[in-house]
Amino acid sequence: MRFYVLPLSESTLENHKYAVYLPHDPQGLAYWLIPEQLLEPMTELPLTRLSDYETAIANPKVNQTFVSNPNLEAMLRGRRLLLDEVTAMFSLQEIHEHVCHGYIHYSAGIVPQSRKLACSRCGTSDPFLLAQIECARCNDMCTYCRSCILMGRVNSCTPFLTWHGTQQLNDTKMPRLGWQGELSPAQKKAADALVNEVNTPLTENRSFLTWAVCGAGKTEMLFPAILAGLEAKKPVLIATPRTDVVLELLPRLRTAFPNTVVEGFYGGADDRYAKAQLLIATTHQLLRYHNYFPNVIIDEVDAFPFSYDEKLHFAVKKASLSPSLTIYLTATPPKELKSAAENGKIPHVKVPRRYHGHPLPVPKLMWIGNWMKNLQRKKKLPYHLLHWIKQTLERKKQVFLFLPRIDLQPAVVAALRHVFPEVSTDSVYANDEERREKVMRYREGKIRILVTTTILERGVTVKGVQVGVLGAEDRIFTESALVQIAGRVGRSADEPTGDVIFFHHGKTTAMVEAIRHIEAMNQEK
Amino acid sequence: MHWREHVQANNRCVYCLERFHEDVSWSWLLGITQESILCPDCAEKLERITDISCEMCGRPALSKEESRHASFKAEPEKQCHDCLLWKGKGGIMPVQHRALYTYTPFLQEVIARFKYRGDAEIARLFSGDLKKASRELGHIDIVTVIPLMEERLWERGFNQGLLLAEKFPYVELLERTGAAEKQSKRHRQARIEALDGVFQLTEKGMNVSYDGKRILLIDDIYTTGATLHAAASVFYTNGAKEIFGLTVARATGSLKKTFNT
Ligand SMILES: [Zn+2]
Ligand SMILES: [Zn+2]
Ligand SMILES: [Zn+2]
Ligand SMILES: [Zn+2]
Repeated sequence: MRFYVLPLSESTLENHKYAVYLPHDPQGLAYWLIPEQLLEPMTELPLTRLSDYETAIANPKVNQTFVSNPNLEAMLRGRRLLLDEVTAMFSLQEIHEHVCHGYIHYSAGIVPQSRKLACSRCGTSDPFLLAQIECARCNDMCTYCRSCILMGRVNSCTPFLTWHGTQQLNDTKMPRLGWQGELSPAQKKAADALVNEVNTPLTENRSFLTWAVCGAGKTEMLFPAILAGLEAKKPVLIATPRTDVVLELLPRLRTAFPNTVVEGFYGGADDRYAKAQLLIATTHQLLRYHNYFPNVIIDEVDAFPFSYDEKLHFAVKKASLSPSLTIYLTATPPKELKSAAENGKIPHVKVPRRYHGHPLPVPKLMWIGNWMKNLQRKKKLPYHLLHWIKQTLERKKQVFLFLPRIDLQPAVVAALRHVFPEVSTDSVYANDEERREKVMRYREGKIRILVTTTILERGVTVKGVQVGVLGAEDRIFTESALVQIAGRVGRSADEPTGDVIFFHHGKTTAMVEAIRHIEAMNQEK
Repeated sequence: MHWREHVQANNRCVYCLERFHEDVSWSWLLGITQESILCPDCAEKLERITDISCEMCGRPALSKEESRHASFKAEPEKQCHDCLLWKGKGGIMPVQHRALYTYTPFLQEVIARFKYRGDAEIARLFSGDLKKASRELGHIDIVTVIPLMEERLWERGFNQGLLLAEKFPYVELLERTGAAEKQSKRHRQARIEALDGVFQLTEKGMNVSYDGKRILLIDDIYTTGATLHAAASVFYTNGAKEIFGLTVARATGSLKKTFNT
C-alpha cells in the first residue's frame, strides 16, 4: 500500500477529512500521509511506502475529544498488527481516522538494520528469508518476510498498526485467587521472592531466575506473583515455546483466577485477537504484541534447541514494556543463565525439592554395546533393556522409553511387540496426529510401553512410570534433556520413587553432568 | 576428506526453509544438472504425474491397464467421461491439459502458502518444470494466464499465474467480467455454468490476432477444468486453432476443506 505525501502548505487540502497525519523532515517541512485508496488519484503528488520514508514520523497527539471505537481498541491494545489483520474487521477509513486523532500509529513492515533489511515483526534479517515480489499493491519491487508469513505477510508496503490511546486495564473486576491449595515451604519461599520482584517498582529492565526441579509445582508458586501483577492493574504474560504448555496451563489458570480474563494464544487458537489480562502465548503468537507487558514469565526456557530460544527471546523483548520484569522459570537453566545467577548478576531462587518433599530419582547407567547395529541388522534389542522392561512390567509398572531418533521408532516397537506380544506397546512423536489420544491411553494405563522421542506434556504425571533412555550417548541427549527426562519419574506423592536408566554405548559428559545435577539438587536445603 | 564432501552443496529448501545437503555428482560438476531447490524430505512428498488415463484432460491413471505416458499428444485418442461430457455440451472446443503433480494434501499446503499466504518465492519450485513440460508441444504462438479478481490481486499482491509463467514470454490478454462468484465451494455442474462468460479480452488483448494460433494457458490448479475451458472459449471464439493447458496440480478425488484467509 502506498501513501500520498501532501505538503502541509497545500491549503486546498488542509480541511480534507483524512489529511491529519504529519511526519516532519529535517528541513522542518511537514507533510500529510494519506492512504492511496482514500483519495481520488492525484497524479501530480508523490506516492510513498512507509519502508521508503526515512524521516521519523511525528504522529499527532491523542485527541481526547475524539470518540474512539472500543472494539478497535480491544483488538489493537498491546498489539502491533498488520493492516490486513485489522482491515478484515474495520474499514481503512475508520482506521485512518484514528490515526488522524493520534490513537493509532502506522509503522513500516520491513526496516533497514545495519545495512541489511529486517522484518519488523519477527526480526529476521537473513536474506534467504526476505524475498522480493513485483507487488500489485505498490506497483514496485516489494520485500516480504518468508519467516513469519503464516501470520500474514509482512512486506515493504503494508504498514503495521499500534494503539496509543489508554493502555491501562480499567475495565477489570478485582482479581482474586481461586486456588485453595497450600504451598510447600520451598514453594512459599520462591513465591514470596517473586511477589517481591513484581511489587518492586521498575526503573530499568530486570530479570529473575526461578530454578525449580521437575515436579516442584512451578505453576502454583507463580500464583501470588501473578495476582500481585493483576492487582496493580497490569497485564501478565506467560511465554512458552510450546503449545502443549499453553493448553495445559490455560484451564488451571482460569480456575485459579476466576475474576480475570485468561486467554491462551497458540497456532489454532479460536480468537487470536481476544482481549485478556492474563495471557499464555507461544513464541509465534507473541510476535503480535508490542511494548506492552511489564511482567513477563518465561516458562521452560530450555525446552527447545537454541535457535528456537533465540526467537523466543526476540519475541519476549518485543512484547515487553520498557522497562519490564522478566521471570525465567526452569528446571534446567541454560549455561549463560546459570552462571549469571551463580555470579549474582541475576537474582534467583532455587526450589530443589519436589512439592511432595521426596528427593529426585537419580539415573543409573547401563552399558549395552552397539545396540544400533543389533537393532538395524538383527532387529534385536539389548538383553539388559529387555530384562529391565520385563521386571518393570512384572511389577505392574508402565515403561516410558526414550529414543534419540524418530526413524528408529518402528523397529523398536516391532522388536518390543515381538518379545512382549501380550503387552500393549505404542509410540508417539511430537507431530503425531494421534498424540493426544495416545497420551490419554497411556495415562489410563491402557498402553503399557510407550516409545517416544519427545517429552510429553510438561505436567504429565503418570503414577509409577519408569523411564529408560535407549542410546543415551546420542548428542541429542544433552544434560538438560536428560534431567528433564529423569524428571518424569516419581512425580506422584503416592509413588515418589522409580527407575531412570540410561542405556548407552559409551558414557558421555552429558550423562555424568545430568546425574551430578540431580544429586546436587537433592543435597540442597 | 573424500572428494564428494568437498563438492556437497549446502542448499536451503524453498518450501520448509531448512538447510540440506545434496550429494552432487559429476554431472553437476560438469554443469549438466541444476541444483535442487527442494530438500529431499519435501521432494519426496510431491507426486509427479507420469501416467495418465485420459489423453485430453490428463487425468492421472489409477490402474496399469488404462495407463498412458503423460506427454502431450498430437492426436489425443483415449478420453475420459468428463471430457466426453465437455464435448457433448456442444460447441466447446477441446483443451488438452497436463498437470505436473497430483494435488495431494502436501501440495495443497504448498499451494496454500503460495497463493493464500502470498509466498511468491514458491513459484520457483514449479516455473522451470512447467517450461520443460511445454517443450513437447512444439511451436506455441501465445502463452497467457488466468486473471485474478481485483480484490484477490490486492490481497495477495500478485497473480500466481504470472509467477508460474515467468519462464515463458507470456502476455496478459484476459480479464474477469466480474460475473463469477467464489468458486471453490460450488458444485461441479453449477461451476461449469457459472464460468461461462467469466473472461473477456482486455483492451490490449483485443488488438492481438488469434487466427489459427496455438495458445498455452498456465494456471495453478486444475479441478474440473471449468476455468481453463472458460478462458479457452474466448480464444476459440476469436479464431484460435488449438489451446493447451498446463497446471501445477491436478485435483483428483475428494479434497480437504479449502482453506482461505
Ligand atoms: Zn518476519
Ligand atoms: Zn508492495
Ligand atoms: Zn524442505
Ligand atoms: Zn479427460
